[in-house]
Amino acid sequence: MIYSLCYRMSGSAADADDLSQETFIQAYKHLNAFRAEAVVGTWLYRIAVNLCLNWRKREQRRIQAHQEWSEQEPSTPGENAGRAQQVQEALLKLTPKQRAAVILTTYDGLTHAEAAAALGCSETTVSWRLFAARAKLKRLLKGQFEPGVSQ
Amino acid sequence: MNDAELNEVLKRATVPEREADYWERFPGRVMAELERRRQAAPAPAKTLASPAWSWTGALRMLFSRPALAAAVAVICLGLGFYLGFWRGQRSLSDDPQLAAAQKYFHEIEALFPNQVQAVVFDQRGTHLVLAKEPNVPASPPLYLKVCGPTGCQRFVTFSGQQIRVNGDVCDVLADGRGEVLLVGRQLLWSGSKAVAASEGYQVEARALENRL
Repeated sequence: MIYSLCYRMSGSAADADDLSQETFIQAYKHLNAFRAEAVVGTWLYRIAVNLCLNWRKREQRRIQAHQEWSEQEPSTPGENAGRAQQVQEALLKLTPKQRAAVILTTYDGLTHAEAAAALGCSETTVSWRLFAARAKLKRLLKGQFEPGVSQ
Repeated sequence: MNDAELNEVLKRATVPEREADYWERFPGRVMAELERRRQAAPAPAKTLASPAWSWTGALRMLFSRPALAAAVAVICLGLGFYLGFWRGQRSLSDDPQLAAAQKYFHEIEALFPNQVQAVVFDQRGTHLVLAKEPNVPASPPLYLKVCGPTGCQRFVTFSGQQIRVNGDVCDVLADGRGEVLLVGRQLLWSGSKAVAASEGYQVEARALENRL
């Protein structure tokens, strides 16, 4: 789950490797900050999201990620890989915070409350980010996919 | 494009899969990186009284502080979750909860041999109960599911251990035939024969490994 989150946040398998490893290193180093009543998964999500957001702040890395993504070999051959790439590209066009909200709720199935805990913001903020993100994704992906057509 | 269609489109974007051995080596890489950083960090000034750092010393110090030990257990559990969830998605079993419990248990047991007293799965997540010393007798792990007035809890534990069921501390006992007995103040349960004290509870117990 952490690897998938990092991959979708960064768009790069190599960076997802580094980010997911760093997540567990940071978790280990900050064990004292963990509150026993918190849920482990949410705590790890929060560390991973913060790392990914900080990672994204470095503009040079962002450009590099786009280049890597465009040069990257598809993981699965054929049409599926092409579609996956289109979706990933659309995700990368969202702001990092919007992207994080979409990944946590849509891919990882967190509720708005859980996503808010992982992102360190209010549920209302998560809802707004999701609203804006989904509107943008619909615009970006419209025409590239025929809705309702199964593969 | 409506919301459902957008969800469908988004979920088509799969994440590149890693080889199984990548995840098997993952915890080792994390620990190696931690060790590398520890060595690379400037050594703190030592006093004459401070002993040299060692793994055994660090572990002794760690487990002398229960909160820290619990935190270590929790993070290891997180690692277990991470691996278990990823690998569990590929597991096809007639009882996914049991299969997941077995995976978590084996990952945790590998990290804390002879120290795991119980793994508890409930609405608040997964919790680990560890003995202070690695002296838990080796015996076949048991899988228990207890549903009571406040919800269901699942446990992986052993005969002779104690579990907390809805606040009630229960002894878990198993005989040679694998029949499980749960004895608590509010709960008394034996095999498939529920007794009066267990009214309001539904209990399911079996050997963890039997069905896998």
